[in-house]
Amino acid sequence: MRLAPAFLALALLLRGASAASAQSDEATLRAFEGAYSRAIEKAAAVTVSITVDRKADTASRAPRVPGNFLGSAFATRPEAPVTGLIYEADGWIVTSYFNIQGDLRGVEVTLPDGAIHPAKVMGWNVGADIALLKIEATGLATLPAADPGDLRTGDVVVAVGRGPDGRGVTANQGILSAPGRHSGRSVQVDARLNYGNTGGPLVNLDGRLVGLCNKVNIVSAGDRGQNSGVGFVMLSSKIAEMLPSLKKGDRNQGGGGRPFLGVMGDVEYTGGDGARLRTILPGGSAEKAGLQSGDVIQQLNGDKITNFDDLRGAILKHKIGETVKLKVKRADEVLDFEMPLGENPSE
Amino acid sequence: MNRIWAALILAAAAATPAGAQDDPVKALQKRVQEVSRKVSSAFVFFPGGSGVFISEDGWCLTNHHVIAPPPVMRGVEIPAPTSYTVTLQDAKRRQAELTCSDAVGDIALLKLEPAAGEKFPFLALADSDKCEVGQYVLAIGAPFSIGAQGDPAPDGRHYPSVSLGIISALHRYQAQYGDCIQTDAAVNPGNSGGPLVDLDGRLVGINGRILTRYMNRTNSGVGFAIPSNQIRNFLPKMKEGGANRRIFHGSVSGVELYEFADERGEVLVRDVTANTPAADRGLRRGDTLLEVNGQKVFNRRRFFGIVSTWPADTEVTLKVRREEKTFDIKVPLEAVEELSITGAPVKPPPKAKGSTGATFEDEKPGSDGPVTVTFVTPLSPADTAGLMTGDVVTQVDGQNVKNRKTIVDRIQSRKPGDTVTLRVQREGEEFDLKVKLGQLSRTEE
Repeated sequence: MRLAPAFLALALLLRGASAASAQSDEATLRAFEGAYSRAIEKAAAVTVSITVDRKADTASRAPRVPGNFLGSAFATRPEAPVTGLIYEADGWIVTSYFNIQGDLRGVEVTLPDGAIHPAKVMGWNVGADIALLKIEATGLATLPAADPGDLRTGDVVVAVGRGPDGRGVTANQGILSAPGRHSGRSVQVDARLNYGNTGGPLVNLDGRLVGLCNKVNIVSAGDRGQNSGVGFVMLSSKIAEMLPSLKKGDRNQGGGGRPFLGVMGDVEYTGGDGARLRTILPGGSAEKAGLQSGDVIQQLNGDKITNFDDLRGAILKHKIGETVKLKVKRADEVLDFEMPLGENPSE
Repeated sequence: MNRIWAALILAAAAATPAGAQDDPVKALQKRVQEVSRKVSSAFVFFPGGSGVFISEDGWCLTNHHVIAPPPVMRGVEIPAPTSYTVTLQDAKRRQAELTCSDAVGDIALLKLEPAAGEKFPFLALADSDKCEVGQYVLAIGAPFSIGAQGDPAPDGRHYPSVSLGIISALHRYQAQYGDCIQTDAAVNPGNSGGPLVDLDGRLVGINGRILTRYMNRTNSGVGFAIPSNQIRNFLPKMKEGGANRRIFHGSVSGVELYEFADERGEVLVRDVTANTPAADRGLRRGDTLLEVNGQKVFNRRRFFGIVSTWPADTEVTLKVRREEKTFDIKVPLEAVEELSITGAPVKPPPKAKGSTGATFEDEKPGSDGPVTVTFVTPLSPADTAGLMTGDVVTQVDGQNVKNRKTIVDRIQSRKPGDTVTLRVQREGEEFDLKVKLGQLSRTEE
């Protein structure tokens, strides 16, 4: 009887017997889960809950998709606490701009240990979808950043948010889907990013900070707000670059520097005679010039457009503020339009 | 003494898994990184879709629906182009020439001509019948055209998006996909035509459809891929160009099966129409249909599903049991243009019926009362005319609507191109919408 545990342990070491193999499977599974829980634990130490007291929202001008009588989910914003991320130990907290947008009465941050601090909204950048908050605290936990050069498509990652009660965490696992999105500012992940975890950290298996989960928008979540498995994470190194300006309280609209027409293409349109538009984004050049959903852009400054990729390429040849001429098919007519190119607010 | 030994050995045993704690996930991560890299290099960006090389000399697959006019345009003659400008990972734009397209299987085969000495990175086809529910798979594509032409990374290259998931189900009979693989890897509009691969980097399928709800055209965790074995069955004939760049699926006509298996888990033949190939080769009413080409038949859809993985004019072997004797019957497959939704044999299409592309439903099915629009196919005539889900239709061409049948009969009695006027109630208002009808496709009712 006394020998039994020793025998089992030996068998486990030798991995010979089938009982040992079952044990080893069990150990592998526990190790599998353990790897995720350890990464989540590290991320949880820097994940804060943010309570936003909002007088009025400014997100009601969300794009509408034709045929969607329900209206876009982005027209309304959840009232529950949102998630933020401790970026520097002396009280600097970053979150998604989306989380603190609107006319605010006040903002409070609940730290992982439950301590509640009033927070001051410092700078933000709408295009990059980042905002900086300051609380009076020091010695807060932070995470070492993952080296952007070490990131690979296929890296296992976890997005961590705060539960609606502000205490527990939420975790969504996934992989890094692609590098180099948003002109290199972001990476793409298939971890499900939604209202709850946007603004929180994304970490790799070593518990290093990859970046800030943000840009939960019509591309990443459809117009009904259901995450598509296409999410974006602003790299920690890019947050560091932007931090001095945010600390000064700079409030920028753009920052991407790419020209923009303000339209969303019907990416599956294969007519081959142009780029058909699915959505005209409010406030963009295209809307002001009168383009409509369903229009097919066939020429831009003389460049022939056969699909939406062509249109993208043609727009990128020009500068922000430059006026371009479009030939557009609408029903049976071909119409001429002229409009200045705006700046891509999503970058 | 023994006790101490035991404790020491146990401590050693505990130390081993602890030291290797990260290994299983790290091993998975390493493999996913390697496969992602390999598959991304063999990836082809199509306008509005995805594709992949399957040979070093430039054979490339995508979905039929990526290169063809959208299905609602069926019946409207739009000549599909035969040459497409595609983008490779190194940002080179190349021409891909259509060799053959399979409208039912939703697979198109194209060829890129390699430059002298050029070899394209490519994926080998896996044996998709060896796949298991629960195994890891990666979906690679250009969801929402992210990373496609015009959206390069700062290094100038184009990176498709990789998502990880598992095989959720196998051998699904899903609309036109007779034998598809279901996956929870994120697949979105723009992923169409892209590869679904296993952890060995082999192609197990081509992603083509997703199920969505509430008009949210984003992934719901339910995606479907055309299996590699079906593709392999079609490739030889497709490489020859088919008939005018089209190839047809096979089916067995005149065979009526019970919808579900009996208590023994077997499917019985309900009837066989005389003078059909199946009858001529000796299939009889009352036979038990065990297998097709070695694959078990577990219900009616599965039978037509297996058959649909073969092109027309091939012969399939049916394993049949009759009075405790088991024998094989070889049956030549006839061409079909579509699969039926139910797996029942396809009936010839009704002549030139009109369609709005909308779904109308009675408040109480089959009884008189208000009729509500429950779905509007995007880009369909109804969509173009402005009909919306939730609309209540009170009149069709001036005739009061009693129930769903009033509307459907009227629409289907008219020809494509005719205009039908619907009186619609929406949010307290009542107005007329004129819908110029398209053609009823064979999968609609």
